[in-house]
Amino acid sequence: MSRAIDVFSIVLLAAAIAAFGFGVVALSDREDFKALYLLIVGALALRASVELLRPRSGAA
Amino acid sequence: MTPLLEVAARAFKGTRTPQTMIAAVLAWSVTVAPTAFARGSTPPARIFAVLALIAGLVGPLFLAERRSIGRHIGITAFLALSLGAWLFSLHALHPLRLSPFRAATGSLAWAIFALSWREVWPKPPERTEAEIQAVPLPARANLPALAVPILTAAVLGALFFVLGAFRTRDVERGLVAQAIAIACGAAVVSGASTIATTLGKDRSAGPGRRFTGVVVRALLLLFVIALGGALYILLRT
Repeated sequence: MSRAIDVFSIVLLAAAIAAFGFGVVALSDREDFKALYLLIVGALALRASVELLRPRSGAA
Repeated sequence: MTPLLEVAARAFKGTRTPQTMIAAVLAWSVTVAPTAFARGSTPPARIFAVLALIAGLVGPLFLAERRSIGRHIGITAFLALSLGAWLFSLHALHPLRLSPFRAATGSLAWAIFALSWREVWPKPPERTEAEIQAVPLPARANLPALAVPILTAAVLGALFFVLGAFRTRDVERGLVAQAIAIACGAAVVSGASTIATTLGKDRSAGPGRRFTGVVVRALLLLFVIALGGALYILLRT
């Protein structure tokens, strides 16, 4: 289980990097909605990947 | 003389105060004054600029003894008032009017200002004979095997963001793209460093399980927004 969560966290980090990268490219291509969507997804994926490995103590 | 004035008078006996004041004046004269006093600038911009200069000069006077007051005036107020001056003279900050030489000089001036407010760490005490002869303590743990590849990928990704932002053709959009690319790069490198050092660690002494409420909420939000956004983009095209 622990190993699977590590792998899932790395996958989420990779997804965040890809989403940020495509988001910046979309911004330069004047596709504002797509850029905003990808940047938000990237931020959420990055947050989830960090929270998975380092959960805040005291959280439900 | 009031205590505050006495503190300020004593500050001039050291070298740090004049150095910090010169750095503040340098940053102000290269980046704030040319915009606030440019042709067509508004009176509020000039007022903010003058107040910023005063804050930049007064703050270092309290560097030695009333350090927190000095930092509030010399850093926080100086930056806030400079920002106010820039906001009231946006026409002078248009990217087309920015010269690369002034941009480079301004960056250097602000770097010098930041260094002038550095903290001087206290000198560590002399090591005793026993401490010199002691065997160095071994590290308690090694980095996980994937730590270096993960961080390398994150740094390369961050560089790609910045390079990708250079594809932008519009000048104003380019500034926003660069700012977003740098923010994304910093977030990715910061998150990846946490992941790289936390991988494979024993969690039995921690919160117990990893799928805490915060994690589940973060994953659900990610799933809903990723799916909803993708569907919306598909239906629009």
